[in-house]
Amino acid sequence: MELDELNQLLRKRKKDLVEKWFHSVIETYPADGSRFFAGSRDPFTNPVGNTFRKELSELFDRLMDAGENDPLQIGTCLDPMIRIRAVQNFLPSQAIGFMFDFKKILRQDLGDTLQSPGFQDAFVKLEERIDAFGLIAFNNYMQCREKIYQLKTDDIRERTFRAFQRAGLVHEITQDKTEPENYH
Amino acid sequence: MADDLLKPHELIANIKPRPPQTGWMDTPAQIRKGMYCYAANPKSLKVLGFPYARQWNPMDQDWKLPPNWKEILFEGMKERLERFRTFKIFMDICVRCGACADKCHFFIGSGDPKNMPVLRAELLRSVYRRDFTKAGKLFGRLAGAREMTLDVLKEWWYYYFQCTECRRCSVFCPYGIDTAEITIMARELLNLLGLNIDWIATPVSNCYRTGNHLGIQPHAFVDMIDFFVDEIEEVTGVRVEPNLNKKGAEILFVTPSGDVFADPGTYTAMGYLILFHYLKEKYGLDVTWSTYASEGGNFGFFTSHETMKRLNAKMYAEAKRLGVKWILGGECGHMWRVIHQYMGTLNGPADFLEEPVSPITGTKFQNAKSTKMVHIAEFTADLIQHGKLDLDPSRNDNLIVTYHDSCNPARGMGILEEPRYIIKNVCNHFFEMPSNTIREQTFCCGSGAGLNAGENMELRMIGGFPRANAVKYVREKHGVNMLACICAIDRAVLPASMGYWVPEVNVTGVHELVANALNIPGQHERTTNLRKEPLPGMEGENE
Repeated sequence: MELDELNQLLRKRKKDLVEKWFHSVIETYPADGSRFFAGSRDPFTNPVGNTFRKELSELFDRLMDAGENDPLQIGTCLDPMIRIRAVQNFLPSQAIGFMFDFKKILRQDLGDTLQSPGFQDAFVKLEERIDAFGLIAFNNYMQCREKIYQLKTDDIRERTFRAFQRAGLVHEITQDKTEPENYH
Repeated sequence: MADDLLKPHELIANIKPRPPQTGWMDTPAQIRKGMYCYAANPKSLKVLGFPYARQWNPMDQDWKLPPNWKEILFEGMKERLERFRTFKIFMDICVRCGACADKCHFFIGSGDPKNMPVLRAELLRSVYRRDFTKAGKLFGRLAGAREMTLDVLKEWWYYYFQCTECRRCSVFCPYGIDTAEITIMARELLNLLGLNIDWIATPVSNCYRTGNHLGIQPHAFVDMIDFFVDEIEEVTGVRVEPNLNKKGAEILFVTPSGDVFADPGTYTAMGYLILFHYLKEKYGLDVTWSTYASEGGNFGFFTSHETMKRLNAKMYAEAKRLGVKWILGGECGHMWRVIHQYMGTLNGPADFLEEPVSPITGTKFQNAKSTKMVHIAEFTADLIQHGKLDLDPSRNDNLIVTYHDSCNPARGMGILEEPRYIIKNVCNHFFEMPSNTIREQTFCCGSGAGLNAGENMELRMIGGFPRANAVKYVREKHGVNMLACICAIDRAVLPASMGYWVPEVNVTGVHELVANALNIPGQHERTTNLRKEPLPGMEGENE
């Protein structure tokens, strides 16, 4: 069996698979939190839950698209989800772990079908693809964390600069009028 | 950071997060870096005469509490239950219906149950039940009561400094419980043990000594105003001449010091200066700034009622000293909650001031009858309504604007229409965010109530997500590139939030937009806005 065929099979089960994936993500939150994330479908009052619903569905399509995927585009698709988890109460491994959980979901879903001849090879290819996406998720995670540290640094730098400025220690370099014009 | 790194076996064990399976009472708070602000500097607490000033670290096991800390808290709560009828009622009447549960931006962003307003309040209520109700004393946990322990105290500190007192939850409470007030009380109690955060304690101490949160002395304040005057002249060709500490002026203008010292608030401050100059030239308006009442904000509000009163008093004292008729207030958030809901009785009644009347339009600001202090959005909207401003909104044509209702002016005093009216008159491109994220239901910036520090950036980003998410929507739908607001904390913190969630969107105060559109008598051809960015159609002019 080719990867294409496997993908076709899985695409038919998209709704179910994405729903399982969604629940595996929100189960990483405390019970009250995950109930809330799974509940309201309003994207403005429940932005975390709805971001996951929307982006996991999009990510599923990209995974099942056997053609060459541009890592940048995959990163764009992963970004909203990783951006949220990068500031929530997770270790780095936990923040991106949901990517790899999808392999388990697929294995459980396919069950005995996986033992069919030729299926294993196609499935290994799909798993490699999931791994590659997972590594891209790690890039996204690092970008988010670096941004957080940059914001923290900017904050401290700005505060220090202002303190120096108030103390009269900051002077702009102005052209000295007594200098000859061709002085460089 | 090295101590944060996990060993490989720990990493593997932690790959699948296991959320706590225990009930909330049995799940102690795990204090996490990025989610809290540093402990108060003891020097700042000493200046204010606050008890138990000491060096302590929230991450340490030992918080160096006084030995009788439980007794102090018990007595503190008892005293407040007797003094504040609202506090007593709010402790008793909650039926835990859960209407508020999913309304808090911190819960919406984090999924942490203790950020649900009902549960955050329950942290305090459970102790109240045990110590002050018969049912709690008799039935303990069955009646939702629990004993005060060190873990409970740490939980209080961690979560009551994860509430921005924005009051979105209160809008949905069928009983009208003001959950912000529960946070206010909890913080007062924590203060009795010296458990404040530095981002609040030091600004309060600065404000108490020098009149503003940043500790700017009068001469430095004047320097900054002079700098603005130069900048305005460069952009408009007009040299404005603001009054400072002018005795006998008609109106005293008070604004948060953030507008004077932090971008992009500085452009809003220039906006005020330009507007006042225009009104002086055209209509003889007599406004003065003060280098002593140089702070509209009041971080005392996040400390205790007494501290709020001490800091608020300077506005009245300065109004009296200068002999003005009334006070005009700038674009600020919590400053307006203090003014609108507390000032009249905190330090009032201000019988020596007059009921505010616009000297230009004759409009009587009846809502300010008690406080004698008018919001500049109302003042400016009234001017536009009466056709008193010569405006060219096309100068803001490069901006596609949306408006963030700053929590306190929106929910605390009902300023909903005026800023929108102004924006629509000074900008040609304005789009609203979705209706359940604006007006009374507005989402907090995520950093109010003294949480706008740098070290708690993760908390700020989580709390700011619902607001940013709505901005992202109008960014994608309408190409919005400017987020307007009327709060100095918003202006200080939303740029970081936008930087993380919607990087293409900048932040502005409403009066920066007004000043860019306002035609000033004697101006030269305007080629840039106050940020010195080229005006639409002028992109090649300075090259």
